[in-house]
Amino acid sequence: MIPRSTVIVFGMILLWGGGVAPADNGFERAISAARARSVKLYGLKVGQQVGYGTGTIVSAGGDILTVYSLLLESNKLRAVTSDGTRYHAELVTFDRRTQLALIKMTRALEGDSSIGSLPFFDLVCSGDDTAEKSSSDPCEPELLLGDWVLAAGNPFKIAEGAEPVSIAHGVYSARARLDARRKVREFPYHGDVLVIDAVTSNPGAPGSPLVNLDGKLVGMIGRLVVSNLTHTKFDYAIPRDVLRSFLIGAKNPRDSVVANTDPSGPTRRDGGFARVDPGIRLTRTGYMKLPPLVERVRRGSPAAKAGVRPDDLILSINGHRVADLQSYDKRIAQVAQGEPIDLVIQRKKNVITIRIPAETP
Amino acid sequence: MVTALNSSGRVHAVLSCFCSALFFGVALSAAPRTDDADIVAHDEMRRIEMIERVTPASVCVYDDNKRGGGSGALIDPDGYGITNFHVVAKMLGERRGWGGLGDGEFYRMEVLGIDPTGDVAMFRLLDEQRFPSVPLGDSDAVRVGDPVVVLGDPFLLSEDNMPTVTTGIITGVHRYQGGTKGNLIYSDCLQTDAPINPGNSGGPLFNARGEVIGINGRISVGERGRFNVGLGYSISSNQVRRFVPALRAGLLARHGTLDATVIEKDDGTVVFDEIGSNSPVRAAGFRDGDRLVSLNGTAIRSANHYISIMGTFPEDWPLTVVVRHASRRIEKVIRLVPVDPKINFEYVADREANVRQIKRVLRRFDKATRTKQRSNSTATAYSWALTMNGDVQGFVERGVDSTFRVVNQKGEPARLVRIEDGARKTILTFDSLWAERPDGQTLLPQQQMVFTALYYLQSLLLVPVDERDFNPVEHVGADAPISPSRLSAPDASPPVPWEVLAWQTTGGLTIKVSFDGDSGLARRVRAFDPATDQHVSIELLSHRQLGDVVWPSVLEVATADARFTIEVQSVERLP
Repeated sequence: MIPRSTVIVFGMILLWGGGVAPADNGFERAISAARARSVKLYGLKVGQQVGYGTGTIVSAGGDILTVYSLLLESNKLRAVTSDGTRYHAELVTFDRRTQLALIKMTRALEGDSSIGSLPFFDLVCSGDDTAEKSSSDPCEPELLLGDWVLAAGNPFKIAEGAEPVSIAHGVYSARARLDARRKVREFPYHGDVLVIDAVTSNPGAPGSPLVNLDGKLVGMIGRLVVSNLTHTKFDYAIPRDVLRSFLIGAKNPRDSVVANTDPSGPTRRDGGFARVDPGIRLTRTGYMKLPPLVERVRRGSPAAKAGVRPDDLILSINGHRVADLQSYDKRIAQVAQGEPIDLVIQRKKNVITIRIPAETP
Repeated sequence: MVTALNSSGRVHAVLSCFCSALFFGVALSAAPRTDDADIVAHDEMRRIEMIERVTPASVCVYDDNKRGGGSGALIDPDGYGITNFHVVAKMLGERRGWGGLGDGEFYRMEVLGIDPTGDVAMFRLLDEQRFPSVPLGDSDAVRVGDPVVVLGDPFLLSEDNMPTVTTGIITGVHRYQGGTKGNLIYSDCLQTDAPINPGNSGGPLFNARGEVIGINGRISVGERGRFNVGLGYSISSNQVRRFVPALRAGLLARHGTLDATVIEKDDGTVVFDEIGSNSPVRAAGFRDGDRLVSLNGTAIRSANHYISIMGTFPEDWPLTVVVRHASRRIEKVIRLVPVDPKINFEYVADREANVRQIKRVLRRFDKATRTKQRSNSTATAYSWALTMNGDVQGFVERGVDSTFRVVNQKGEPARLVRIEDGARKTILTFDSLWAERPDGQTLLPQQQMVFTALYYLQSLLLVPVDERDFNPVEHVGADAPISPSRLSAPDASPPVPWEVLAWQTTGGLTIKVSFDGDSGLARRVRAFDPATDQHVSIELLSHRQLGDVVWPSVLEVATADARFTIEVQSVERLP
């Protein structure tokens, strides 16, 4: 494989020299991959909320990730693929905290275009998507600070029918926690987001896939929010790993155990997503920066069986240091169904390791 | 304009060489042993050089009181520049303003032609010097992801007229952004995420080679206010190029239309829905319900696509329209009828600017058609030998009294015949034609129009420059630079439109001659009779020097019911 730096440098050369030879301008591959996997959404217009949006195709059968908004509540929700085919779609579930939503394309509006061969981002790494196969680790495409990122979406409803959606380009600036609000209400998601320097906080843009120069999905533009710090609209994307956890949970609601660690509680429509619940409850009263101290262990739970006890202080999960409640929540949310959980625990003066085996349904 | 465009063409060629040299330089230096940082540095240097090269042609546009403002770009060394109509809209009273260049100077500026429908206007900086200028590029060759540079004066930041530079990529092509009250329509335009803000209006969008591919004039705005949110729109350079001749000639440019609406059917086809009663589509024989297949070789995908493409052509521009009627494919070249701009003021065309362009076109024509030793001679009587299929069919004679007739070898009124399936078919009968004295009763109006058209062409060739009367002449804008029937062959770069001069004859005909800006030669002569709504068109396909004049040698004549070729074999001076 060509070293990464060379690839990027070549991209830049082509940017300014590409006019001479009919060479790739450095972005074309990523743009066409992203555009083919982006859908235009049309639905309910409520008040100041626009009745259009963007979605990211995550299965050949028409599963679409987007952000929750009232437009999805329409019983006339439509998804238009890049070739202009229009499909009926319906909301499957959404997550109150991340405001991610899963919708499903049901059937074509006209003709009998079958759903089942759509190009898609292989978020759960089934390996079905040829576009993602070439990567060495298809589940975690590499993304370094300063890498180019491109979003493909339909802000301001510029594109219609088969017209290609708009592109925004920028660099990945930081991975940081979101601290934001919508109007006066606190935005419930306080997890990690990708900060980008492209302007993406425009009506219709949330739900746009964000890809790297290889055209691999690295995130999705999140709901329009205002930063609590700067009071300006915030350009960010929900990272791939968060999308992935949401999708796995949303696709397998019965197989997963709903975690009640989220104070906002389970979503409507029962979408318990992927949140693996080993049965540990931490002490949550007090100040913001609380250590992850076990308050209770549910009787008969995987954690109880593995020997976790109250007053254990959790030091790390699967090799990642967890210093406080927030980082515990973040790491536990990233544990996928069917994976064991390795904990390092301080119990009184001893440091011990405990493996909680994967729950077999 | 001709001189100017030619020199732009030269600049362009030089730039291409420059770029390819650098490109190869980089490609070589990109060998594995080379340090990546060097490549990046080289690449940045080239970008900086490009920006430095085009910056002097960027203009800060101000009104007469040096207030208000927008941006613009000089497109030829005589000081002609392009901007948005909405930038000069408030200057149309005096048609005066100021143009600030990067040298820090303010130049008096006159506002020339305007195109309110397409939001384009032309101005001229009034100074004796040769100005820096930038070439127009090919906006149809632009691809999404291409890097772009925007120059202009956002928020009127510049104190010394040096433009602000922003960069981005092309984020959409072939966009359509509807206008307000029928004006300021951005058809088939470019979309970019290079920041564009108030004050950037009218400024240039450059590709990596430093060619202007668009005029920035519009942005999408959210609830936050009128400033960049990452979605800007540029009028495509290929549209602008087609309007430049009319704008330079000080005209109120009118867009063209087929005067017909289309709808999309469920099967995805696009069909004519409502064809206006005076639509050229109706005149071409097409009917409601006919399927529209393509315009100028571009397959029409949707009703929006049709509207978008239609918005980019000036009036009288010829479009190759392909229609499917039942199962039959019909292809016709249709000239667009004008759309009157929706303006609430009276715009009087700038006659001074118009005459300036007429003189420039004719000077180039004279230079291209007259040899030096003949420049002062005035041959007023001559004879053309006409051939068809190699046989001499007759002679077109022009007498010293400026009369005009066609005779056969015996001096009798001639006929032009064509052998078709072994049968002789008479195409034209020239029974004693006298162009300005139509006493030949047997002559059909269309035949008369053909020879009136030829008469005007020959007058151009024979009347000395100093004796020409400019009063009955008008520069009326642009014409498609090649025969529309040959438009399907895509050209590497879009050719410069031909410029059209028009005469009104005493017989009430309108004669339009299209001049080629590259060679200066006349390429097409058309006659139109408003009384009968009849057209004839003559394509001057090739030229050669006969005696001391470069004559058109192959003329392809098209009337409503005949199409034939005249070859001029020889020219004789009559005694």
